[in-house]
Amino acid sequence: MTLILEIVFKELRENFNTVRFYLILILTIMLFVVSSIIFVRNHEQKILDYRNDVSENESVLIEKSEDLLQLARFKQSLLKKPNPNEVISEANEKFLPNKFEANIFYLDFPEIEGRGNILLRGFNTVDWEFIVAVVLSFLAFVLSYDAVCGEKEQKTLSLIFSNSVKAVKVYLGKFFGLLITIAIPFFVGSVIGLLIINLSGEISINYGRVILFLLVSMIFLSLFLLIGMTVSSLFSQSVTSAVTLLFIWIFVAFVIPATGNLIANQLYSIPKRGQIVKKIGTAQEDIYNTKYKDTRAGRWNGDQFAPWVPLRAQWSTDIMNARNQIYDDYINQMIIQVEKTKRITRISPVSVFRYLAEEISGTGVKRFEKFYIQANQFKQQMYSFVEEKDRPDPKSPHFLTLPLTTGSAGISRLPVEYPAVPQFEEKIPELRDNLSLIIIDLTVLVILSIIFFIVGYFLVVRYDKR
Amino acid sequence: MIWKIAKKEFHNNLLTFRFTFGTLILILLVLSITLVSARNFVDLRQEYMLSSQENEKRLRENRVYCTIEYNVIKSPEVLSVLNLGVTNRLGNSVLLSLRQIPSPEKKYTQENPLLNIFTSLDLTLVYKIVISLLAMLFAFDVISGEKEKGTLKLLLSQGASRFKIILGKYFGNMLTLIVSFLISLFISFLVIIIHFPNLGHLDWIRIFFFTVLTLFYISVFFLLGLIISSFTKKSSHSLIFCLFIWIFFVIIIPDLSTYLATVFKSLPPEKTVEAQIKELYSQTRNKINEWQKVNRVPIYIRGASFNSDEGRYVFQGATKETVEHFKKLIAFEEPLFKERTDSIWQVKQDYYFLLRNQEKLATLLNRISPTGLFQEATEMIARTDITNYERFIQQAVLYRESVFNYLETKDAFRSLRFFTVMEEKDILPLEEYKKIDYRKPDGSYPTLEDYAPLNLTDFPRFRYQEERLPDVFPRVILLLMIFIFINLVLFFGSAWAFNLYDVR
Repeated sequence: MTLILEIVFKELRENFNTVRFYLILILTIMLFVVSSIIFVRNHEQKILDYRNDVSENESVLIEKSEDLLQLARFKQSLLKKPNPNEVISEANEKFLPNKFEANIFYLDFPEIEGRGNILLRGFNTVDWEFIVAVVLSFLAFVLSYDAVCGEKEQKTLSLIFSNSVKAVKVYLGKFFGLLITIAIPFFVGSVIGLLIINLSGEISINYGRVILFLLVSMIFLSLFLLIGMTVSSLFSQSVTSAVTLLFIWIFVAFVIPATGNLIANQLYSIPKRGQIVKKIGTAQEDIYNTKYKDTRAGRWNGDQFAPWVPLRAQWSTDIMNARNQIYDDYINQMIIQVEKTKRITRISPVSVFRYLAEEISGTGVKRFEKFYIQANQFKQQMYSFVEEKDRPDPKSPHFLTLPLTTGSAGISRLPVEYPAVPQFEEKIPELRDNLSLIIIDLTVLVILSIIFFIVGYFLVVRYDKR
Repeated sequence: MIWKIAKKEFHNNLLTFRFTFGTLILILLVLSITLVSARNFVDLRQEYMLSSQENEKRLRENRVYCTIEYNVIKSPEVLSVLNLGVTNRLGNSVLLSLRQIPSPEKKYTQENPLLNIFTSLDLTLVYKIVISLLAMLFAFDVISGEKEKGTLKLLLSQGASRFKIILGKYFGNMLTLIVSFLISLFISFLVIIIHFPNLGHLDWIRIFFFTVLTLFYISVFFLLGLIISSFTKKSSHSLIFCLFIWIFFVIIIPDLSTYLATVFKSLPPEKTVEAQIKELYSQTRNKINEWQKVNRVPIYIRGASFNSDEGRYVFQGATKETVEHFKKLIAFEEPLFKERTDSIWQVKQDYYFLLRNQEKLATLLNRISPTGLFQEATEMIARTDITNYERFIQQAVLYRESVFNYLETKDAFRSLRFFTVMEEKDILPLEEYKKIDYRKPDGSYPTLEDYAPLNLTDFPRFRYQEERLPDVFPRVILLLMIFIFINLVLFFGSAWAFNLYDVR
């Protein structure tokens, strides 16, 4: 054990004297500082926007609660809440829908709203996940590309391995030396980032998630260092090793993640929105033709207690259910399409790490999925609320869905006391919600690390050390 | 002497691992991406054809003028293989109706918005990342590597001036990179020719510009590496510096510039636009409601179908009094609608102006990096930049005017056919109107489809006027000049640095 420590210290002393260590330190700290400052500014703005939107929605709701029918038909905006964990991983939420409009009957198609700008070219948000997944993974290769072959070039390799020290200890020592070298800039950077966020006051960070993220990042960086060491012990020249590693990096960090759209559209294509709208149209016609064509349901003379009105209400309910079913299928298809695509892009460890960061910070597609479920539940909750408030009114025929086809009649027009009206507030996914995914992705990273450790070690032992 | 050095460098390079490996990777990527883009393009063109047919079908279905809608659509860009640009996000269609002036859509074109989390692949992405890295990998040890091997002293002792040596090394290595680049490009051309046999010669001129530009882009990174190499004693140090410069320029700056632009020029929330539009709608609505309160007549209409756009009914029959009422209403409404349409367009334009300003700042910041310049220039060449999108929108606006002129010549706004399928002879006083049985022989009531559609055969069709080469020339040349300038500065910088280099 002490021997390993000795090797680690020796490695560290050597690394601290190199230019690359200081370059990594400067670049990492700079990125963390810029990223955290911009995050704080953007997040404060998001909170303000969110509060404005919620209070606006509330004031209309108060107005609408004067009349139960108005309340039922009013399309409120269900919004995503600003998520402070986005500092860890924003997961391209700027491109993801953040809003549903909903009355008690229907949800509209998801929308993207806010201060986004479609004209901008930049794709990635410079968040912590980006710093680790793209920049530090690259720097891990820069650190490790000559770990073995560099020593050979300097003729020091045979010296290290010639002693009576076990090769595995030397290898471990080298690995931990590199890991600590890259961990120092990373931890210094993230601590400064956390300080900046804390000093800003308003943002409360979930430290559990931060610590988990730091831990996962260390495993991810270990994997990259181990890949670097493995490749380094595959070649005798450090230039060859560097070239190989850099192209590997381009593939895992850029090419594979960018194939997502292609995979999704070619392998898992889903119907277009226009088709869905048409499908809803034909479903409505079918319902009419099969069940209500020869009945009196189509009749309406303004009398809400006329004998054929229950049938008409049944017709409206059927239409509503059919439409909601098609809509729900469609949204689920969208989610499944992305999830399947993500599964394939997971052949790149960079993608695995990025998804892991999303799962830890409760952002990304999983969050959208939860958001959609919550919006749907809220719609149903509002429906039951209106049902309950409608029941005591003797003037109402208690046909909730009737307004869908006849405008006004069908629901009570009495006021409801506003505080009783359910309020929507998004619940950001907890760590335990994504736990199974986190465990799977983490296991993938750990297994990959172990494989590369073994392969690398095996190669070092067989390496021509002369 | 220069050529001797260049030739020697070139020969040596051809045998290296980085050349073979780099070229192979480049070929693999370029080939697969061109194939995918070509296939994607074929799909897009198919979609374009379908949309055009759909347009014609919808035109033929119009029974009254007020329902006319036309999807202004532009054929997909062939050269998007080179760079997908912004058109990839903004799409190539915009809806034209009587109540809406085409304006840039702030909408993502992805059918599944969740797929926005993935980037897309084009040739520019490959070249901007892979070939710049390759250039750096060739450059980092040009000087420092020779010094380590001790061959630098030898070279200098042969009597060649330092300037000539560096020139020779520049040409030799650039030649290697050009070979690697041209092989991959040639393969992509083959794919392009197979898929698009009727590529115009003007497109080939654009492709030629793309090639020249990429050469200068490669050269910038090579020279950056050369400068670093002539400042450092050890090639391992030189490599590290090169890689840091590379990741900073190629990866960090493009994303960071966008991120910074959103902070320095922050936008008002999109909701403000929606709120203004809503307000304009309600203003018009209120005026019309007031008018209707004053001019109230009993309405007798039959066979009405809802035209959701304006909350108005398209009907099959009405009494004389009702028709007169609607004529008056429309004479009152239409100027209001026109005013509202113009105001909404203005609101959208104002917001777009803000978006564009933010984008301009991001582009400016992005120009710190050669990669940013390269991205911008290739978008221009591929006709997928914002200017081209704006051009499309402008033409759509002009097209709408021509549609209006056409409708004016048909006297559409004042004719009965603007809002009803009735003819003059069908307008009857109330007593007679009530007497007539409008049922068809089979006893059912007629629908709008039972009436003859409008004759719109001479309706103007949208033809997109492609951007001509002279339009884009000045902008591309400017960026090219910037590239040449950077190249010169870097070249003399490296010559100067090499002059000071301690060869011992």
